[in-house]
Amino acid sequence: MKIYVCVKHVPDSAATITVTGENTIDERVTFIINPYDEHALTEARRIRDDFEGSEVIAVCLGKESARECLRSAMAMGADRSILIKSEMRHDAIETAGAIKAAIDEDGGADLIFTGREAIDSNGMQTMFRLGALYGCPVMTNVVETDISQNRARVVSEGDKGARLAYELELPCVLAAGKGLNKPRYPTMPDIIKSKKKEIKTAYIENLNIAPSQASMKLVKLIPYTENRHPENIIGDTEGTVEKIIDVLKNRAKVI
Amino acid sequence: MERSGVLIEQMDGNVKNSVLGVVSYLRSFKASVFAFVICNTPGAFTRELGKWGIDTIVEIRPEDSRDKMNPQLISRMIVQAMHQTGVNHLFGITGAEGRDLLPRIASLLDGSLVMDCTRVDPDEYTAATSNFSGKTEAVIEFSGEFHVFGMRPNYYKPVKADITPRVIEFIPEMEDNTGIRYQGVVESARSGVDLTEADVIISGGRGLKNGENFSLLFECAKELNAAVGASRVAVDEGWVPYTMQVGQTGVKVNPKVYIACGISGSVQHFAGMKTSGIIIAINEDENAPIFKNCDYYVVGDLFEIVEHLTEKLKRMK
Ligand SMILES: Cc1cc2nc3c(=O)[nH]c(=O)nc-3n(C[C@H](O)[C@H](O)[C@H](O)COP(=O)(O)OP(=O)(O)OC[C@H]3O[C@@H](n4cnc5c(N)ncnc54)[C@H](O)[C@@H]3O)c2cc1C
Ligand SMILES: Nc1ncnc2c1ncn2[C@@H]1O[C@H](COP(=O)(O)O)[C@@H](O)[C@H]1O
Repeated sequence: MKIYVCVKHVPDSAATITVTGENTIDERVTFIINPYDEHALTEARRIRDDFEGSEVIAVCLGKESARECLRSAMAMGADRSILIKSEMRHDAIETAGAIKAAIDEDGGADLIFTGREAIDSNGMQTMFRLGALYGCPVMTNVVETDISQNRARVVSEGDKGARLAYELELPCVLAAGKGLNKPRYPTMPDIIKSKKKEIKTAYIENLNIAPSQASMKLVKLIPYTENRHPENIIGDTEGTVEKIIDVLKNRAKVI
Repeated sequence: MERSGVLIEQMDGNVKNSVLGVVSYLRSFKASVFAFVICNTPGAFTRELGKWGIDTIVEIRPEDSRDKMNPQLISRMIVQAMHQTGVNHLFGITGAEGRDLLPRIASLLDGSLVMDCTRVDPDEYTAATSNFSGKTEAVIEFSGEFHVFGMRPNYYKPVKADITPRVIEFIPEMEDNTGIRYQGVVESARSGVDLTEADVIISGGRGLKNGENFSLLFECAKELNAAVGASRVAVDEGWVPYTMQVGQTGVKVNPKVYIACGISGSVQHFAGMKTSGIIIAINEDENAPIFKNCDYYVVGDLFEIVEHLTEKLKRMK
């Protein structure tokens, strides 16, 4: 079974984001694998171990610096990886097109994993764009998988914690939710072994990407400003609670 | 944007309030609003939707009611109904259901999609959303023939507008070659107020100390008709289920009031609740970071304050 895992190189969630131009940020911050993609990698690795002769391939569309992210992905269990190199920013439609083209060139997939959302661009859609390009089924916020040779049984989590079961034909795209597993972080030997693994480079301009009539372009980034003026509620418990109730009742009008 | 469509979502038999908020937002553009509902009972929504200014209800009637359980088929039904009615802009909300359906619909249409929008400017072809987990606002320019938007839940409040809607019945043509088969409910939705729909949320973090103590928050929530949320620590410790996690890797919420109890206020937690109307923080540490970015704060023991608050609310009834 050939399992591809899409991993995105994103700024650490704790990093301070400084907007530098109209639509760019200072990238001198720590970058990580998108957290949901770590769940995807962990699941892919587990499935690989159930099927002899299987392979997990991490795919990333990104800048030269995204090589780092693929190294970590391989330390977490991917057997090899593909960097689709581009210095530009791409929307989810182009991203899915590039990933599909790179996977096709590499021989095609039985199973594709993504995360449910990238924590930088928060697009929430690359998996569905991929599914549309392949004409294959997609399930998002997947929290359980049971894979056999030609179908995937999955559980997807919906509103208010509802868990729904679906059966999907393979190939399919599964977007990992947080409840899927506990990411398996690499040990020292894993990291050493990963250094010998292959990163194949593909260039976006050489790929045969399906055209689309639609696009989404980031034109402006505006730093979020804090404009709250914290007021300290002082007093004994009785007075404090009275003040809270006053806020709920007279300012927020919720009771 | 002469005609705009709204994807109607329900919760416990009623149209979600956040969806009605989107309807009111669209009316502010003077758009003619088309509501897309999947329903086998003719007229089931006419009364309720008529109160909020919907011009046309498109009742989609799948011939096989099992098709309603397949999100890819639902998306196809919506797309067919959009083509039928000449609607090129579709709006929904960025909750669990919208996160599943809206991207499927946009992909089928080969249209643009912006999720978690706070503003859409149909003349400028731009939409505002957030990037980097709420640390920046991002303005996205969209192009193409079809456009889909997931609005941030609860960001716009519903405003009443009585209109008698026109009702169109639509029977989609379905062939199930989606490769997806629905197998049933493994676990049903929890009862209580939904976090993304709630006007008031009371959340607990490490300060709660264990799972049992969360009953304190649930009791208080009952009095406030609030939903209960949690920090990641409370979830990772196994005190409460992951679906209650508010934050960057949890639910993003927009209540009128957010009460944070024993939560320090990490950037990742803020990513999920920073757009709340009023933030009230209760923490025993006077240097807690959450105190720097809230509206009211109490330095004190959460157990004492929440318990007292619940009692007082009970007595007020
Ligand atoms: C990739 C990534 C994603 C993350 N996503 C999320 C997310 O989605 N949501 C999230 O919440 N976190 C997330 N985190 C975790 C985040 O960094 C913090 O660790 C977490 O939010 C802290 O939770 P807390 O505030 O409950 O705990 P702490 O930071 O330990 O704070 C506990 C607070 O309780 C107070 N306290 C203790 N006892 C009492 C008492 N009796 N009365 C009053 N106050 C008391 C203490 O003073 C303290 O301020 C993420 C982290 C990473 C790396
Ligand atoms: N540039 C990229 N390279 C590889 N995978 C990506 C990229 N962008 C998005 N993805 C995948 O698509 C998922 C959803 O991303 P998004 O649609 O941007 O929220 C992510 O969790 C990744 O698995």
